[in-house]
Amino acid sequence: MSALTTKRRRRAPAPAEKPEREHGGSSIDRQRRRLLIPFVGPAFIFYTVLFIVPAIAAVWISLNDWAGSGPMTFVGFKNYIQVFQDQLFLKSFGNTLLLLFVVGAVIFTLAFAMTLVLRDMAAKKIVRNVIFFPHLINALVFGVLAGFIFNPGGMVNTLLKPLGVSEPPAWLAQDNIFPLIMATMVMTTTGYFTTILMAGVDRIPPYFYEDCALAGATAFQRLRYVILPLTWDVFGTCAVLWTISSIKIFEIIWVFGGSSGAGIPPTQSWTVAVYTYVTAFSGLSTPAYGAATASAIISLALVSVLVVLLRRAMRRDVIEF
Amino acid sequence: MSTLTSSKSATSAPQPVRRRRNRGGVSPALRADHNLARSIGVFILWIVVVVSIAMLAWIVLQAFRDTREILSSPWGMPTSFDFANFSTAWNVSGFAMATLNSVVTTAVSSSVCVAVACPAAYYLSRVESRFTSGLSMYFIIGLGIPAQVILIPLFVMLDKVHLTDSLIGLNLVYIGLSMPFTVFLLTAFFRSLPLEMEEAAALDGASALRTFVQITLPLAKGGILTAFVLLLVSHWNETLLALTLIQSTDKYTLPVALISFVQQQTYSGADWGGLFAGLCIVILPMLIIYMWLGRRLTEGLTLGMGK
Amino acid sequence: MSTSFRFTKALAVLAGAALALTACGGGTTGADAKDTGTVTYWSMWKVGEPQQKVVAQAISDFEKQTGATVKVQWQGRSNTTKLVPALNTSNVPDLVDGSYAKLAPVLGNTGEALPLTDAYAATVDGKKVSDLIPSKYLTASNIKDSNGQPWMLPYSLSSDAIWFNGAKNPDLAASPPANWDDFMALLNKEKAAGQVPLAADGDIAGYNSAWFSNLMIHSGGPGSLYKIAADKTGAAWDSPAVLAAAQKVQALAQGGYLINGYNASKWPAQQQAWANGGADLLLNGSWIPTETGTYAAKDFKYSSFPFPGVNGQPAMARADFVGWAIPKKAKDPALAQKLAAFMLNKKYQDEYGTQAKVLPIRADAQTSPDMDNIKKALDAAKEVYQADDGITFPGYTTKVYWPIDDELFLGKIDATQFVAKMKAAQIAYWKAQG
Repeated sequence: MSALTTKRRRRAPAPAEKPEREHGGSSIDRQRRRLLIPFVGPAFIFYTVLFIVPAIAAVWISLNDWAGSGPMTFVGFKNYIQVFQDQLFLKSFGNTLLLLFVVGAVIFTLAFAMTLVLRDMAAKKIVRNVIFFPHLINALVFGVLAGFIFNPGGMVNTLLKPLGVSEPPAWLAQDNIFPLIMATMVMTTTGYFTTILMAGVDRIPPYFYEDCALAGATAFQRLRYVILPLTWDVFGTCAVLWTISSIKIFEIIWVFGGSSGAGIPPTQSWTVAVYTYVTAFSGLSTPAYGAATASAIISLALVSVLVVLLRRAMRRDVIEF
Repeated sequence: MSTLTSSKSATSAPQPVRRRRNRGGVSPALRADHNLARSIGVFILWIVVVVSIAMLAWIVLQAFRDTREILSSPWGMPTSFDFANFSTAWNVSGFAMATLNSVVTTAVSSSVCVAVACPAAYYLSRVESRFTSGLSMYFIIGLGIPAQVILIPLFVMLDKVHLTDSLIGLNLVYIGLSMPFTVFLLTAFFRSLPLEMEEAAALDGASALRTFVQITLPLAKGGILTAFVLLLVSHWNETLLALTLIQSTDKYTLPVALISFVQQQTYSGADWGGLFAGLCIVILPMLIIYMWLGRRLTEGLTLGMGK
Repeated sequence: MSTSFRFTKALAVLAGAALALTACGGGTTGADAKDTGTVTYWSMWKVGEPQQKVVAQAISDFEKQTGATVKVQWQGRSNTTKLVPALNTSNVPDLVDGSYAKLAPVLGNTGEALPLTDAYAATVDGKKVSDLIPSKYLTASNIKDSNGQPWMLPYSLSSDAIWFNGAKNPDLAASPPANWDDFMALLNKEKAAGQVPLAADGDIAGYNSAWFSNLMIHSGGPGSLYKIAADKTGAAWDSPAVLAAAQKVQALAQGGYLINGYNASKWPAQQQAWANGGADLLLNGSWIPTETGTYAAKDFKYSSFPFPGVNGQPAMARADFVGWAIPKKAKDPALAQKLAAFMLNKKYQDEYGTQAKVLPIRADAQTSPDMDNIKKALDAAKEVYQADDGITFPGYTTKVYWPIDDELFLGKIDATQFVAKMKAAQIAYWKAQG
């Protein structure tokens, strides 16, 4: 019993001890505060110079008409209005939201399900490692393979033929590319979040399960009343990470829909990131950096709003155990 | 708690439960139910595993065949294990140089980023004030800014200090761009570390700096390693910035070399065998690192995020 | 691991890496190019491409002749994309090459290109460069800057044609269809005989749009599509000639002439299929023999006929330039212009035609037999036009024209809907442009 108690105390999250620290003005606190410059300084400098300053410059660019080189003409908010009125941008925005919510929901449902299945499975480390691996592969690889696998004469269709499917679905038709991309995202990202969630689930102390068994809870009740609440903070962090990264997804769409980086993906599969890139770098018509940065800043605003809402929705009293 | 449970826990307590499979010596309540849904789940998982491994094996095998064979029978097996494709990819397409560039850039930028972010994260996690919450928010904003937004201004800035077309410049950009994520991750991690040992050290008269270096850092090994490996992965695969900021072909990193290799294949007559060899060169280092460090990665990830 | 050991190890790694980095070289290219005799060239070719071999040969000959040094970066087609950020700085190459479609938005239309008067006035093989380039090409491509001076010096052309296997269809080679009606008759004949008439890679919007663009230009003359696109009221889309062209494309798309799966594949799957006998005809550029050569069926004989014209209109052909441009901020423009003119030597133009199997710009250069018909068509053409009539309005082709044309070509909408959608989208486009 004592061993267990020690373990529990060691794992207690810091907020339990917050009240103590806030009232104290202990010497270590004062010493720590003096370390502001040397500790935070370098990170602050790197970040500000290489990130924030260009971002501010980008805001300035979004208020101008600029072809990437040559003179800039100030146009105020015209770029923002132009972008908001562009049907294509609205469609890309919709695709981005689809990616964020639908794919996110599928990923987390699958991740939770896999976590539960993996909890007591033979060779669970191997399985976890294998499903995690696709996350580490460069998007370009998937783009190259996509043609091979999903072309009309490609591998999937040749596999389906002996099974009697003579009219296989048009995998790579322009309308179907975005669902295909969503499926690929699910495949590559689920393993990553499963690994994280597994850790959260593994932390749950055994006595909760034993209490459940004694109380005669069904598996579903156990999931709802024990597992979900106790992994909520991990889940919250993952949700924020997914929100942020899903809005930036670019390479997989570019490579999947375009021809291995040589062409432009069909407009049905555009997200805001692709829209920004094409407006600035398509190379086929005069670049419009003002409009491109305006669209990127709009997506940044979207991210911020979503993250704030998400943190608010996910906030709960930390459960100590 | 019933005595039944306590005696079982007493016997299982000395075991390193986290690392071993919890079979044997664990109460039945901890085992998952063996019902139909679960069996289906297990079955599906095994299929996913088999298909993933098969795909990887297929890519490697195709690299040993030539274009016409691959196109006519994609499911076929290579007739001989001739490394011609690999040597073409390695020598003609500059993958050798690109791999070296990628390895150096990734290692340096990841190490420096973690080294710089650690103290900052520690400070932000331990000192609670409106100022530090503001600073944390400041860092988090960067997470949402996509690289395309800042690409052009970044390029102009770098050129003023003669750092375009330079791997040093690329390293600096990677460090700056990964800073928000690393600080975010490490702050959450440091915040979850227990304070008792630091306060004990303070009582013993250690300065804050010494406490950080000698007490906190060793405790934080797992989280730091996690952040490091995550950075390794994302820097290794980073394409957009490398594509724009590097112009000389001998300074290309691996993703850029791969893109130009693909373009070359498609314009001057496809060499799918060479292309698959190129894909292998991109994937295999990740695979090797993963098999070597993967255990540490997933454990560190779970330590860092689980807390 | 104790912390001190870890730190030392990390320090060692960093030190080693820093050393390696300095060995790899950090710093600018061309920073020391103040000395005469160095030209930095960002090439659109990659090592191993047949055109690259010719250009490399020319460069080494140039270096021997003039004693200059040429620093080449074989960047590939993304060399112009890389150029855009560089143009904001002084770190630009002296010389780039590319297709007109890629150079114009970046260098030509932004005023960043140097006028190439010296190059055009230079003498090659005893003739002035400006005389070596057939004038009808110069009138079509707008390579003149705001002062009327040319900013691009072409060394090669690309055109398009309808390609087929001359070994399997010798009669087509002898008597190709002369106009659209004959062409449709040919398609119907093949369809009736159970063959697949047309191949197309439906995911390449630029290839799909070639059908409507060519039809429109052949009936209205070069520049007609450009005028239609420039109409801010969109009323130009209501003309019956436009509808007629759209209906022809619709007939193609919905008539069952196209290879199965053309709308759901990834390039280059369908041109691969065509090169292996999966279909008879392919509308594509003059680069097809080089591009498909490595996987074409054995004994595949490349043959072509020009895009069927409209009776009553003069003979016309598509001619897009591939050539040199020099950024204004180049450090050694005079030498760069010399190198540019050097490529027009007959020796390299011949090699371009015969070895690289593309179309050299000089009318008197040799070409490979695959290009015979295209060359004949180009030489006989009275007027020339560019792909998609040279439209470069920012975002017009990628966001307005191509998506809606794709819907037409992939059989999702019909001609009337196409015209209506184009009109509405164009009005919105020009309204947004202000």
